[in-house]
Amino acid sequence: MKKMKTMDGNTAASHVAYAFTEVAAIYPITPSSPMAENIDEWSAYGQKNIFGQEVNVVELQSEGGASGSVHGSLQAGALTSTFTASQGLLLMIPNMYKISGELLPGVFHVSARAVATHALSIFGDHSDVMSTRQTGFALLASGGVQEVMDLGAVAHLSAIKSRIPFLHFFDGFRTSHEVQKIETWDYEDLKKMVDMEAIKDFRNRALSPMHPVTRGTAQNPDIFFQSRESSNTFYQRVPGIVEDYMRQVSKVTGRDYSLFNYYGDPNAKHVIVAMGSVTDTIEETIDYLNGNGEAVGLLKVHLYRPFSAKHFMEALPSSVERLAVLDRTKEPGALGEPLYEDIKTMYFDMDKRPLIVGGRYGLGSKDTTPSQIKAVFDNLKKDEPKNGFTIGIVDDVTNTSLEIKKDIVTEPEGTIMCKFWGFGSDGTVGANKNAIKIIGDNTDMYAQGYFQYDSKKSGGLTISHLRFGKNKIKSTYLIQQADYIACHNQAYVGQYDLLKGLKDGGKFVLNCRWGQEELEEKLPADMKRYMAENNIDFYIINATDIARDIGLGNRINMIMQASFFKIAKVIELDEAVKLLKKAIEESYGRKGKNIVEMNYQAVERGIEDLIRVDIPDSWKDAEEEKVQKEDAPDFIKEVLIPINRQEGDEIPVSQFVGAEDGTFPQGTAAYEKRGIAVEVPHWIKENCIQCNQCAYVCPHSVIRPFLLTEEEAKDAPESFEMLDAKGKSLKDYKFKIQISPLDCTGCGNCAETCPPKDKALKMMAPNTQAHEKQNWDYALSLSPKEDVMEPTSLKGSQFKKPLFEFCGACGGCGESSYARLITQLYGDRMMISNATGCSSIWGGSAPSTPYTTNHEGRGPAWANSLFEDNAEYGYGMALGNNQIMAKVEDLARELVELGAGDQLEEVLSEWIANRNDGEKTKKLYPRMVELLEKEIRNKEADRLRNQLLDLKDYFIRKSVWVFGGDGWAYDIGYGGLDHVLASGEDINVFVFDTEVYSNTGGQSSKATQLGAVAKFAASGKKVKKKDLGLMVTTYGYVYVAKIAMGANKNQTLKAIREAEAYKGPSLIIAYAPCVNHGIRSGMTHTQSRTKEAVESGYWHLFRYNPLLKKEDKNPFILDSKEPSKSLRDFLMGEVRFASLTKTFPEIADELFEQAEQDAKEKYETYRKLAGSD
Amino acid sequence: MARLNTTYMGLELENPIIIGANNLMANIENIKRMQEAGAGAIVYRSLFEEQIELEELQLVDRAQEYDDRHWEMIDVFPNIHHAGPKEHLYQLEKIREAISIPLIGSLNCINQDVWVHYAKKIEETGVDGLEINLYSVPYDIELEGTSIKKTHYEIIEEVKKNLSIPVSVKLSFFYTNPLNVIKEMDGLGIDALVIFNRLFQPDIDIEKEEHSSRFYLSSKGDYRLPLRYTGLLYKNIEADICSSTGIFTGKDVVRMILGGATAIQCVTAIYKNKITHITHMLKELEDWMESKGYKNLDDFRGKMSRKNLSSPFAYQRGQYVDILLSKEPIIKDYTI
Repeated sequence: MKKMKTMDGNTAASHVAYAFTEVAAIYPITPSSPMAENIDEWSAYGQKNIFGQEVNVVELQSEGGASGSVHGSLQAGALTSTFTASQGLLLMIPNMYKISGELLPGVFHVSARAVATHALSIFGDHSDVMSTRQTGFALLASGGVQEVMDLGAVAHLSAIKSRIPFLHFFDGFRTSHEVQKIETWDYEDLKKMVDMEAIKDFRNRALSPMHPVTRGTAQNPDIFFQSRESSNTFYQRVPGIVEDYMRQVSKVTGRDYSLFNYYGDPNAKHVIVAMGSVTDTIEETIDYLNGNGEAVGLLKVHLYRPFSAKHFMEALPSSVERLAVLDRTKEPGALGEPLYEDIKTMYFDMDKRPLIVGGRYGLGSKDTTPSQIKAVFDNLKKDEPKNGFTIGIVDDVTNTSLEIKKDIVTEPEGTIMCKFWGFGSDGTVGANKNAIKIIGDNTDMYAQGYFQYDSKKSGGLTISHLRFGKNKIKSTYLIQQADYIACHNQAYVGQYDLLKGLKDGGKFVLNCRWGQEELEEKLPADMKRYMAENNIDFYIINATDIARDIGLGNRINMIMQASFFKIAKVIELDEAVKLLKKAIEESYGRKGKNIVEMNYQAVERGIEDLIRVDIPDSWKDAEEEKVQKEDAPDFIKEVLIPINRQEGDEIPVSQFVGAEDGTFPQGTAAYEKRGIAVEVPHWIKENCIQCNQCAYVCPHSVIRPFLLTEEEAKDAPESFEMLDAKGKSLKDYKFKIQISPLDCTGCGNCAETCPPKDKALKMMAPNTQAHEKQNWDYALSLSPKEDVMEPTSLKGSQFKKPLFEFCGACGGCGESSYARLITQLYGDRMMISNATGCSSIWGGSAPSTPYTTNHEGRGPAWANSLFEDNAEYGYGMALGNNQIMAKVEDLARELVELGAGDQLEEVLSEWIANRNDGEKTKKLYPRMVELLEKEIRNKEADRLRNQLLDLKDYFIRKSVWVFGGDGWAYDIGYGGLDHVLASGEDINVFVFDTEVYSNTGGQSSKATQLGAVAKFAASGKKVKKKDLGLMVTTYGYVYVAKIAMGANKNQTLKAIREAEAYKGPSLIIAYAPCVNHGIRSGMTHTQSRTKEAVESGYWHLFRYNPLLKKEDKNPFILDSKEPSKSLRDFLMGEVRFASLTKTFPEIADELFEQAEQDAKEKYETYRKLAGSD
Repeated sequence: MARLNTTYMGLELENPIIIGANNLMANIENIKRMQEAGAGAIVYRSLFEEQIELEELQLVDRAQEYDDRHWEMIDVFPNIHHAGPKEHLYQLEKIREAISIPLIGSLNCINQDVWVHYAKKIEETGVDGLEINLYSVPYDIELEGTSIKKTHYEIIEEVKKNLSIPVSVKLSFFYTNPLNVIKEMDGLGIDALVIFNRLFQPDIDIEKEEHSSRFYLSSKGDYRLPLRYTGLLYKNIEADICSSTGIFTGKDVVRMILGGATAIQCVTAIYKNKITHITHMLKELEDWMESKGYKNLDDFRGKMSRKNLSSPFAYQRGQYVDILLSKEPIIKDYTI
């Protein structure tokens, strides 16, 4: 053993899983995906398991599918594993019963994650694992990265020996993504512990025609029960087997493992019972408390199922009088959470029972700190300790939360704590991982890293938490008190409370382009005061310019890393420089002397160019400038702003009263004004041809055409430039292209799309466009001109207000401009069911809601259920609406028959005749409501009238849309999608096809093209993309279109309009370029890439309109011309394809040739279907 | 009818026109066209060690461009590894299968161990010979010329020792005495010498005030430098001489063979005049030979070389002669 390495929990799990696994059947889900990705990568590069084989990794269409294949593979006699979390684990439950029922030794490694309830959470808690405690799997918990490595092995070894499948779990993100220096297992040591006889028996029991048996029979009441009970003995043996393997592991590693490990005072009266990553924090807190005269302890649960009361009692000191059981899950309506209930039940029959209370902590990765743990012990000291308590939140509604009287700092003396504020993709996280590796691999120090990311995909914030120390680091919580804080982005000054938690005398390094003399003006008063009052050692460095100077472009990471080593003094500077240079040699040595030299220079400049700032005394008295606070709704002030300032943890439960069901108001994104663009478009009106294409393609709805009446034009601010509007219906108006510089991400697709040779849009530094902010505000105050031009044309569509704006998508996102366009057309009567994925993240990441309302307060109503059920969820919305609308029709008919006066009868009759026509019902709505509000003076008629008014939200025919990505439509949701489309219901399905699981980091889907490199297709996808569109046309009654906005904007508009108008199911598949494609020309060109995709025959445009059959026309219309450009050239424009030529050239050649052939065949097929010979 | 065949570095060539390494070869169809147009042999594009290194760096950079942005998109591509020279070698294998004329690999490295490693890999693709490109772009003011030469000799020795196919050396003109360097290399057993490698020089864009690199082709008349050295080296070294640079016409080919070349390499000629130009060059060569009554190349090879000329001035004071040829009858008198 004794091989120390720095790695995260997922990698530790992969390391041991790989050793014992022959087949892995998986499906990607955060935060477990990296485990399977590691296995896939190691296998692709030839690593061998302990049986001398490469692991066979397969990606299924869902976790349900993955678990089915795990089951089958186990039946075939192969040791099989999977990796999952959250809903994924829940989808595996049916097979978990089967696998355990059939005593098959599979192992599931689970990075435990919250299960979606009122909201989705990708973060850690035990609600997923706790949902499987009844399945018959053994549940084994690890509390930290080292435990994942050690107990992960115990899970496999015990499963093989006991025949009981194991679920080994650890906390999502906190452990799965925490980087620690740990000791790794040598596969030879693992091999020695395997019960090879048990494996032989397992293989002999495998299904085989050589000795055939039948499994999975249907049993009647006579034998099912007995048969079920017959496996009891296997479960009885498990604790002993696990204990034995834990002893063996302890012997090899020197680390003490038991089913339950006790930590703390041997005579403790007050003890916490817990499992998972919190146990490390509890241990650290116990050290602190016991060091301060208390006598407390922790009972750490490893083997949760089967639960061994005997082992529990053996581990717990007999002195214990009070127990606090912590659960990282919530079971509403239960007497208590599961671990608590188990402990209570265990004690029920015992004579000596401690007082037992239970509490919840850490749901959805809520940070659990030593101060909170102290509060749990403090609670136990009370005469009547609170039961069913919570920690980490302020519950001011049902008052469950425990009060924290004083914050404590429990990290052992000598631990150096560092915090880094970085910008997504700026290299900060990578540099910090490197620093941990350097220190971890080259010194006897321990190192820990945990990284926080943004919930937006553009302009993302990263916060790195690094600890270094001579002892094992058990602080499984965010840094509360830092010795060192660095901010790598000057834009964060004033935006975040950067110095929060910096110790007295702590060090602060700011990367900025400001000179010392500018700091007086640039730094906010609270920062100045903090630094002056807390004796902060303050440094500045202009790493941005240094990096450019020495040829490193935007890469400031090496410079900042060197500054960190100089200032933080984790190790001696000379030693640090030596190690940094060694690391540079190792990373870049083979890549050329110049690159090594540049990085050497970065190290030197990062040390030499640091400027120590003398903090003037006057900063102690710095006062904030009085700024007039902008008026905003309470929700914005009390929820959105604190969350965006990284202060969401402080929001109390009462803030959510009234929104307990997870409801958020629309349009909150408009208040964010993030100002993240490096460049924003500047309108050159002389060159503008008023085509509105810039607005049409904008992914963030930040550039829009406005029409002004003469009066409005007169009142416009001075800098509000305008043109006479072009077009017959617009002759009385002025025209203006307006941008919102603070909402723009700077992708530049607008300027790139602008048709004139002399562009009417030029990308410029945001400070040159500052005046546009007031112009934007003025433009938004203009009267709506929605009916001036019909939205049947590209130009006309853009005079309609986007009811989707400022989403969190990546700059240049190929998906979101489609969503915006649809809201412009139907937003005011639209319902959206959105599959989990990128579109649900940019569409609804709290607190930012981009779907918004029009001047009448109407807009898209948006909801996300799950990943797999999206079509069905949307279908349900349609069914619900239809049913209530049918009721409206019944009431309307009744009222007409009863007599309601000529006007009302007329309007109701018209409504009945047109009730399936969205636009007509929208027009009828005001008149209908107005007339229904008038008393009829007939009791029965007035009753019907009031009943109708109660249902007025259903008067307008809703446009029901189902949005989702290709992972949903092609894979996990395909069965449901197919069913819903087959139902014949009037529903519109829109697929954002990025050809990969974009949201979870680029895993291959059935939409992934042949030859594309993606996770689980590292050597290029070997089979071609499913032609979902063509498949669906075979129904004959489903409207189908394949579109690509940048290739043919009019076809896109036409397809959307036709789909919505079609009174049946519609499916639109839209090509959506994505950061996962690695577009070599950059995300500025996403629109032009779609054009090139069509021109090269990579993507084809068609519409299949069943209505045409009624006109005796061919329903299949091919909108693509014969490809005129080279497909190979198109492929080489993207990293996902071009990289294959560099990594697997012979495979690339074969696959790309096949891709060319396939593209030709596909075009030929379409051409024939379109009837053009 | 004149016979154009020749033996170059032990390889039987139908004619002396070898197509030098160039980017048209990125498309295998172009290479087939070169064969169809009559090329005597092909030197495939160089395998550049630096290019592989930079590609590797670029691959990582591009794959990681959007990393660390979001909790679920900590990375967007699998951890892919550059396959080193595999792409190049694979292309070579394919070309080997596609053409029947001699195929020569080309190599351009920095580190000595890589020279040998890559050379062996190229040999394994089935090529008929290997051309190694030796040059040094001085940037270190302390570095002495002798150490550069020493390194070059060591590379040749190592490559020769490890390969069984013939090896040619394409070298730059920038040695204090190229003749002596060539003689030393000849002594190390090289099978052919290709003179010379053209080095691209940096330029400055005065508007943008930044460095620029431009690709430039050779010009008519550039053949004179290799011509002179061909003439000087003929029969003074064991290795075959392949003259390169500025050879545009069949007449230029004639000049080189008169100077003593075994074969010639051309690139710019086909860039400027399309691949089919090879056929015209061969026709011109053949017509000239027939007009002169030569039956094969050996009939006139080296006829105008230093060895076969009585006057010392044509080669020894070549620069002056080139410049002053028509203006100073007195020298002209001496040189005739």
